[in-house]
Amino acid sequence: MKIIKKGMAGTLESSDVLVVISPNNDIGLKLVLQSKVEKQFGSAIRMCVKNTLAMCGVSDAVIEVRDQGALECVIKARVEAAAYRAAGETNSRFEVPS
Amino acid sequence: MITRGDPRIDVVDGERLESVRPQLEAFLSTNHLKLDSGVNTFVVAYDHGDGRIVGCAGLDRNIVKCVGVDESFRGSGLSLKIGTEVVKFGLGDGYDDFFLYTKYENSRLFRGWGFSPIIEIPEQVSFMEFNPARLSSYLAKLSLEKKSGSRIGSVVMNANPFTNGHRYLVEQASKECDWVHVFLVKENASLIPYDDRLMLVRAGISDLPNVIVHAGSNYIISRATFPQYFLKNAAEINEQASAVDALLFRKYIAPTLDIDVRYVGTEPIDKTTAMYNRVLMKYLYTYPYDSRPIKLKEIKRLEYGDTIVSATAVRALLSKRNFDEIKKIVPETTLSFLRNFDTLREDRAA
Repeated sequence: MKIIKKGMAGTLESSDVLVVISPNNDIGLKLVLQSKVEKQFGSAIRMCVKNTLAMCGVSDAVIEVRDQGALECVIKARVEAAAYRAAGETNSRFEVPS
Repeated sequence: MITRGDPRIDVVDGERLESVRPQLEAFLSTNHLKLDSGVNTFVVAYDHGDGRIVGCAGLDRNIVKCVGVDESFRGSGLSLKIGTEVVKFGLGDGYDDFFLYTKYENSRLFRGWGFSPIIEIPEQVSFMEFNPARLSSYLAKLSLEKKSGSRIGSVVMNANPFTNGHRYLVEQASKECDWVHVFLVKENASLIPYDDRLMLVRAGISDLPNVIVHAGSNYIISRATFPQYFLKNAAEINEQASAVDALLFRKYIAPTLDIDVRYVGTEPIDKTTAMYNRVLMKYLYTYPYDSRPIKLKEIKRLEYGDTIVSATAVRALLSKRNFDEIKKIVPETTLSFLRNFDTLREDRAA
C-alpha cells in the first residue's frame, strides 16, 4: 500500500490513540511515538505499529502516534484505518482476524 | 449525577463563524477571555438539551487560541473532544504542528491534549507545542550552520521592509563579531510577504562575508503575533511576549549556535519598543534560568536628516507613494522591489 497523503485516525481521549500517517518519499518508516505509558509499553507499542503497517504492506511513511493509554487492539485498528486513509483506499473491508 | 447527551460538536468558519460570533464572545467572557481577532476557525460544543455553547477552541493558522469549557462540563472530558477536533481540523488543513500560549496554571489541561511546554515561566505563561520532535529537528538543522569564534552575534528582525537601518545594525554587529546570525520573523503579520522580506534581507547584506541569514521558523516569534486575549493589560502583554521570545532564544537557539550576544536598535520614539528592549534584556541576561545568559547590545539607531530610519517610516512613505524620500533610507534592492510591489498592488486594486 502506497501512502500518498496525510491520513488520520483516533482521538486524544483517554484510552485512545491519535495516529497520523504521511508520505516519506520512499525512504522507509519513521515512527514518532508520544505516550503516557512510554516507559512501560513504549517498545510494545512500537512493535504493534510496525507489525500492523507491515500487514498493510506500508514500507515508506512517517507515522506519528500520540497514545493516551490505548489497548493493543485499539492501536492496531487506528493504525490500519489511518494507513487506508493515507493511501486513499475507500472501499476496503475491515475484518476481525480469525 | 444527572445524565445527559454528549454535547454536539461543530466546526465553524467563514460566514457561519460571523453568525455565532456574538454568542462566542459572550461565552468566552464568562471564562474571562476575549475573542482573538486572528482566529478564523472555531470548534464549538453545544449543549445537547438547550443548545447553548458549552465549550470552544479557536485556530489562528497553527496557533490554538480562545479555549474555554463551561464550568459544569469541566472534568467531563469535553475539552479532549474539542482538542481532538481542533488538531484534526488543523492537520487536515495542512499544518503538521500546533502551538499555544496559556496561563501557567492552565498548562495541565493542554498536557492532556498532548501538548508539551517548550517555555514555561512559573506563575505567568506557558508556550506549548503539539509536536516537540519538530523543535529538535529544527535545532539539528540549525546546528549545521554553527560557526566558531570568540564572539558570535545575532540579530532578529522583521524587516518589513529591509531598510538602511537594518543594514546599519547588522553591519555594526558584523564589525564587532566573528560571525553574525540573522533571523527573520516568519509570521505574516506584515505588509510585505515573508518570501520577499527574506529576499530583500539576503540582497541587502550579501556583501558582508561573516553574516548568515536564517530562514524564519516557528521558534523565532514576533511580538506582533503574540495573543493578547487572555491577558488584562498592555504591560502584562508586553512583558510576557518579550519573555517568551527571549527565553526561546536563550534556551534553544543561542546554545545551538554558540551565540553570545543579541543586537537591537535603540528605541527613542516608541515607548512600547523601548520597554521591550528592557524586558528582553531582563530575560536574556539577568533572569535566573538554566541556560547561559545572552548579552543584549543596543546600537544607536541610524538617522537620516533629523529622523530615525525605520520600516514604519518607509511604509508610511509608501502609502503616499513618496519614492524620492524612500530612496534616501533604503538600499537599491528594496527600492526597486517597492516600486514593483506598489504597481502590483495598484493592478490588483484596479
